[in-house]
Amino acid sequence: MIKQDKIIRIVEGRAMPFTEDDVDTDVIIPSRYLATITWDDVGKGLLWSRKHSQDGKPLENSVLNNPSYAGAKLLLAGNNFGCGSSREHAPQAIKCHFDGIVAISYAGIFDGNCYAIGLPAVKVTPENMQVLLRETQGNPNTAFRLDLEQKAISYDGKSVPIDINEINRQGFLTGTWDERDTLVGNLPKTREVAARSPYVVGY
Amino acid sequence: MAKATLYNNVIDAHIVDQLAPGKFQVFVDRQYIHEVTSPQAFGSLKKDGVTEIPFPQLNTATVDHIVPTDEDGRRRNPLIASLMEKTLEENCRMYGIEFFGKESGKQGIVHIIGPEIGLTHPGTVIVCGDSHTSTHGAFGNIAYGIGTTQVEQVLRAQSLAHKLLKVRRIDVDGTIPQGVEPKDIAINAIRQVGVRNGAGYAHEFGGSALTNLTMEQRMTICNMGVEGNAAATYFNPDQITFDYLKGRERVPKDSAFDRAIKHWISIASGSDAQYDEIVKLDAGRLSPTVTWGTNPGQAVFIDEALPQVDSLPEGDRNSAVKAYRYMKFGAGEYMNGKEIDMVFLGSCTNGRITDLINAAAVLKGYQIHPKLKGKVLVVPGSQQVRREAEYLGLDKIFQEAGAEWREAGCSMCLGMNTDRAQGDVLIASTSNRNYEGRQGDVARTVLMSPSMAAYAAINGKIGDVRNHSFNK
Repeated sequence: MIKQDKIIRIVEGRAMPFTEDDVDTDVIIPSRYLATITWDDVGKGLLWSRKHSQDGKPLENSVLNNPSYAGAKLLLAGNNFGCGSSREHAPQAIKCHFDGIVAISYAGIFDGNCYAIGLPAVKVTPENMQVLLRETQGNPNTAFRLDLEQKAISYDGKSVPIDINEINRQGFLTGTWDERDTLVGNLPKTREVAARSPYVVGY
Repeated sequence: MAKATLYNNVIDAHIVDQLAPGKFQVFVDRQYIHEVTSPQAFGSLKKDGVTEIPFPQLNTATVDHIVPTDEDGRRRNPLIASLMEKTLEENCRMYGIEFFGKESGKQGIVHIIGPEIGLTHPGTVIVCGDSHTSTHGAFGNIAYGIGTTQVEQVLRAQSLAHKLLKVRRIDVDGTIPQGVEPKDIAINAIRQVGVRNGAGYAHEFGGSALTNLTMEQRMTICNMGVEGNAAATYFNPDQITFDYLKGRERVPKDSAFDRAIKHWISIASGSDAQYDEIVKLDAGRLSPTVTWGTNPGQAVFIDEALPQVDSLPEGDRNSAVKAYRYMKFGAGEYMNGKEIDMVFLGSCTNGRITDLINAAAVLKGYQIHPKLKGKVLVVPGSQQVRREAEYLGLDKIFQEAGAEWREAGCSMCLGMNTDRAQGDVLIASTSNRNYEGRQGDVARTVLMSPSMAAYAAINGKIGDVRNHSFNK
């Protein structure tokens, strides 16, 4: 049941150091970017308030606008990343720009959304986050390689271990993170459960 | 792992299949749908040529997030808002899903209308593309927020992959002091457990202080559960639950209701329940509580000084520094006495009739502070709450006090419609999130209970509602 075309094993690229703690999904994408019926433009709203001043001008001193990190494929984040609203627009906006997230910890719904859309979100210890930050801040051109099979991020001949829920890891490695077919495939069993749900059958 | 808890009982009864160790496909009894997190889900179905879904009758939709709450809002609302409303209505028609639009008389915030109509029952699994789905847990079910891709999965398969949670019992004992409301209990539970530490847990609330809470009060507490990161939050169902449900439109009648009660009792946590963790909270030591920061765990009693950053757990310090900078407050200051610029009464946290009754009791015979004219929004959570409030004459109390009496919706809780703060203003809000930029691009939000917000509206500043002279 491996799905070759959906396997995600490695994310390679430079790393954007964005390390605030408790970044909520309102900060990741403000609500005005939720006024849409498609995903087409959500990428434009990513971390808007961290990239722009109150009058809408780009913040020159924002790391997110630093050309040295333009095109980075890994987003480094802090504790409790993605807390708050369940808006999938948040990970979708990240996915428009990045191929993976490395944080100290995540909020639950956000973590589930990342998995559901095939965006690897892995954890490192606070100490190892400091190591990665020092590396990318010291040299923005550092090439990182997040390897889900090896459970490590390597760079410059060195590496740090990552933590990821083992079920999610297998989902990425086998390309089965898109669960729609699995769930639909079980419809006969689902109908059996429905038929004995007191709520559904009227008690 | 927890055993014999309501969480275990409900999930066990809903398992369709095991997908991996600790991960199950679970049946969803009810999905609630709104206009903001569903269009891409329906879009994906249509793209794949899916013309039918297996259980349309187990899905229910309404519009709440972006709907305008007054004439002015209707005029100024961007075209996309009406497109989103229309899109949901069309999607519901296409797939045979019941839709409560504004003409139905039953429209409102999805977490308010579900219980109101009687669609939210104990013992069920309930999901919605909205984090405050936790609200429904007040009835004794497992209810949680999901993303749009999962909304699509439920439309296609009426089920979801569910990783087993741990269960944390939160016992609130003692006597709730005068002036302390469920909102205060919810915020203090987050302070006690830690704003991040709900991750991976279902929270079960109970204890002697909560025994007599009404369903509306329980809903406020469960609503805020997600603010402490809990994956689900619930109370065990009891006679108060059954009395609330009895006679509601979508609740079975007569002998079916008796059978339902038997079932609902059977799924409650047993005397042999085992929890992964038990937390105790003494209600007697609580005071009216307000937030000072940019997450709901950053809160103090009204008579408590704002914390020194160094006094906080190490992991909370960076966020505290960030919050002080954004909120323009400093350690050692008091929230009591801070001048406010706006008041918002409403939301799925505190937009039910009890909340409006509490706020109106404070405002009765008083005027809002003159500087707040046009800046005090009272937004009932549903059309039914609005009718009930008008029947009780609350609308007159609010209007005579000088507040705006609006139509139902999420309104300024998340500021997706025109109900949005302009500029750098401080807002006394009964909603659930004090995040940066949530209620206005640079607005600053202070969360509090409805009576505290009403008291702030009178004084033009944050105060202690225990000092208020109520008019009968």
